[in-house]
Amino acid sequence: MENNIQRQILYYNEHKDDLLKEYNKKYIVVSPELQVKSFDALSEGFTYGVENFGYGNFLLKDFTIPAQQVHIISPTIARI
Amino acid sequence: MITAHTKHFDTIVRRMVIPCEIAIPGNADSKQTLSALWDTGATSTCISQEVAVKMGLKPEDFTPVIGMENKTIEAPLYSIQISMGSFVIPYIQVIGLPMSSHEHDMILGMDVMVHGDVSITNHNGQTTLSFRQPSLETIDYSKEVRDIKRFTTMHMAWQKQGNNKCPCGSGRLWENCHGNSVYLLKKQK
Repeated sequence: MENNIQRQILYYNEHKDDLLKEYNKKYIVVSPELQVKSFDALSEGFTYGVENFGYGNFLLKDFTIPAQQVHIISPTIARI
Repeated sequence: MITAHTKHFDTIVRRMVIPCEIAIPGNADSKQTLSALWDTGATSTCISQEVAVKMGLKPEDFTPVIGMENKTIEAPLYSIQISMGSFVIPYIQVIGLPMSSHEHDMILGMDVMVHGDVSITNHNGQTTLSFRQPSLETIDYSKEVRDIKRFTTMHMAWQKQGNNKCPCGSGRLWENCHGNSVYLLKKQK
């Protein structure tokens, strides 16, 4: 799938452990310039991202749910 | 603000599919009406990827998803607004997934239901789904049954002594309080 956040995802994957530790129970926005800002609510992060970088140009990560939690979508599909 | 929405089905149903409006937050023009399946077995809400593309939703994250054949795919996450009647969740992250069902193009998971109280009743052969936000009280059918049994026993003893007050302590007459309970009315039928 085409997306504009490939660079941010690579950055996140490289710094995942540190980011999880620093921003536990927060939402984080990773900008196109790979700057990280944290928020208490999804709405704050989304609004900040859209206003500053444009819709679809930022990574918005939810650290409020446990990273290893398994999310069951249906009896046969699970998000990990 | 307290909001609520109710869907009455004509019969007993095992699949509760209801209309649900979604939109990109802050973009009313993107609004779409989907058929949403309520699924207490789903922890996360997902929408049809086909709909996501049609709406112009852009991913803001990806998450691994294990499919039916244990194949892992990377599924996009989107922030959307969800509305059902006056029940609105202004921001929620949902997963975009291929959906083969012709009956629904959205699955409402527990991440939506935790926003308030949800009840499913099947009275008189009709399923009714009702939900509200925020959560207002704990509904405990076990406690209700225990209480009515206890109060009925106490009421019978009090009645012999000429006391017709409800034993629950409300100060009201038995007939106007727990004596008017749906549990006792059902039993009398």
